[in-house]
Amino acid sequence: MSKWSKLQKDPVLFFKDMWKKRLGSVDRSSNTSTKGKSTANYQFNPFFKYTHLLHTGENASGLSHLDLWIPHFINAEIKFVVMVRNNELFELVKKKYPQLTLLYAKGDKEVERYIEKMLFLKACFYPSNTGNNLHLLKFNEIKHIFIGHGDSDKTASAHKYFRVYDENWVAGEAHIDRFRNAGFDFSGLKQVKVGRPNLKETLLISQTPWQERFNGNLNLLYLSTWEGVYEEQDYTSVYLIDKFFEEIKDKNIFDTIGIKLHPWVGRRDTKLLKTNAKLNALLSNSGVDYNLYDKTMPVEEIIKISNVFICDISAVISESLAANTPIFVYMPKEKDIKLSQSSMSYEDYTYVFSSIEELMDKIEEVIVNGNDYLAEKREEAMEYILGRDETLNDEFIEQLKRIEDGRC
Amino acid sequence: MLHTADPKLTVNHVNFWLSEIVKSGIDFSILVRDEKSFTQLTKQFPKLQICYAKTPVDVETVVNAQPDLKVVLYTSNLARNIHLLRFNHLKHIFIGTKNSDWLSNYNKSYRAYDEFWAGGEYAITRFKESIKNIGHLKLKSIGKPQIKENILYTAKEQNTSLVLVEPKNAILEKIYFANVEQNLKSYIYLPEEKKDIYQNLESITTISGIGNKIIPVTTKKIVDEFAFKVSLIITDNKNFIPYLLTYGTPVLVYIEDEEERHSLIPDIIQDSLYYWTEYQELIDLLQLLHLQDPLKESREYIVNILFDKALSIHDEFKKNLIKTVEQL
Repeated sequence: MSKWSKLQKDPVLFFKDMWKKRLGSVDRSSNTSTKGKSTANYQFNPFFKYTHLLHTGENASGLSHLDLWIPHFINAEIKFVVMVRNNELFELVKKKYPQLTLLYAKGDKEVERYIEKMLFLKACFYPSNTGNNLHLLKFNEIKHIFIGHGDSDKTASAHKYFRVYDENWVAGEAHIDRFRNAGFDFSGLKQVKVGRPNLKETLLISQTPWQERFNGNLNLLYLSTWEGVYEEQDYTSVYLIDKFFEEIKDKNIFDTIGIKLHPWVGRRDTKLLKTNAKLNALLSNSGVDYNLYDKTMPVEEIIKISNVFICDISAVISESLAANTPIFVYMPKEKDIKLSQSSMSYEDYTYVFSSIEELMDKIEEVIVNGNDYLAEKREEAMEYILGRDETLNDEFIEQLKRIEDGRC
Repeated sequence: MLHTADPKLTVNHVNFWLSEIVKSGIDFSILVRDEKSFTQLTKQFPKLQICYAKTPVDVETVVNAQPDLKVVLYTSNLARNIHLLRFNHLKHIFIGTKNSDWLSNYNKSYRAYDEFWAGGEYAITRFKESIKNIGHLKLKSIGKPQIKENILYTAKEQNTSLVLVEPKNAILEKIYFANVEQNLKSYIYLPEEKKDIYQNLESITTISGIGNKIIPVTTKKIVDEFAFKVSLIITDNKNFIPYLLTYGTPVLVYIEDEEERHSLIPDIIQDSLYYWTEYQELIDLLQLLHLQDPLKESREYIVNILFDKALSIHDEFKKNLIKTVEQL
């Protein structure tokens, strides 16, 4: 059948074949592998008016970044598409969110081909700073918005590269202060407070005092960070935390202990890959009610069932803050820690420790003796860091709709 | 630090800027991102501090090893520049490459830099048209220091031509006969691989007794020397044109058709060139130029827009570099 006769006799088939040819096959099967391919799409239809694009340039580990935002993009009821740059991640997202429109574009040419098909695209959203974001940033007519994947005082939170974006969506005033205190001009970057939509439920739970939750039980949660891409960002307590569990296991302070390591622990320092096994061996016959959470377990879910936290410097501090409970933060003393400071330091609202002895002393004072002396400051930090009001008022969804409506 | 990340063009980029940075007298290093270029450059410049960093962690090591580092100069806007742009304590300046002022597609990612240095008003205007909100970014015209001598050298040898063409499609023959007919002394560039044409040309000029008039040359260095003193340039190489204009002499461009004329980049050079396709058109142009040069003013205007003559002559690049380092 010639193209012309196909158009006359079966227009649906004609257009289907045309798009197949132009975009590669439209893959609706979750079993088809993209291994070795440089482009693939799932449920992409160029006749839809996609207005928002959520992009991650990470490899398979980028799933946690997407998990943070996809539910809220869905809740906003906007026409959005997710673009990934790694075929393994493409398969993971397709499996986890079969209702989404998904694109896999390996290189800049593939990105270009898809963007040119989305005539109504208004904004691209970036949860992390990766080099390949550049392939989208070259489209000047689209708004480029950094949404991040958490909120922390790490140096990665506020640096000059952020200026490539049109807008930086932050949780609260704290993140804007990090930019103000970083010592460079960012006048072209619009800062927009949107709260932390994934923490809304936790914020609602936090309205009950932490001592009264879970029938008065004390559920401890340890959340480590990883060793960082750069030495200057190595804030992890993983090197010493086994000593803490050794100390605590016979003391009967906590009713349950949860442990969740950052999914990337061991990425730079492979010695750390054995941490989970080591902790398991330590606690398995101790009589402690403990749980070693899988790396895929969303942090916000386990935060909701915990009321005491031990954290490293990372975005999990602000996640834990939403629960409004005592937080013990590891601050390594021997290292020259470079932080992009907001106007509230960790010492203001968390119990900072640099050694296991110090941690044990503070747990004794705050938990055992019941002297939660930073409770008031913590409340203040919840607004300043998390944007409590914006979170409870669904500001993120409101801002997504603003883009859709073309409001500035 | 001069940072260049394009694996295929690293050596070219370094060669383009190196002597200008050396002239500033500032202590500097070079950071490259591919091993092959590193090997080549360390061989070429054994006394320079040249670093190779493949990964973000390697870049961090290089930066940490240079506590006095203040400024990074970028020749190209590539994805891996992000590894350096995250350092807030450094000033990041985009200086581009030989042709980037007219070939680059400017986009919002350039806002990562603190300053954008361009040859002249042409690139600045293009930049502003592409990116509406430039925010903090300082756009500066600094000229192109590499063309300073081209502009300053004004002693031209009358009735001489420099021929830069790809010897194909009988273009070279047309130029040869036109030069002979108009009695021009002509330097014809023929790269090494065109040995047979070189020999043919040498033999015919010797037999005809015009060996002192038609002079084939094989090295690029000699071409640069001739470009300073000839009274006109004949070419079909469209990429060289902006720089050929800086010599201040008429440029006669071979085009196959009108369409080719309108596809020249940057577009503003199109009205400052003489065009020819047929033999007779070339003869007519050579005769005209013997009497007058109607595009002289237009040429000067274009060179000024592209390269800012005054700033190029007065070492604005060097001055800005020194000033920037001193201020930090």
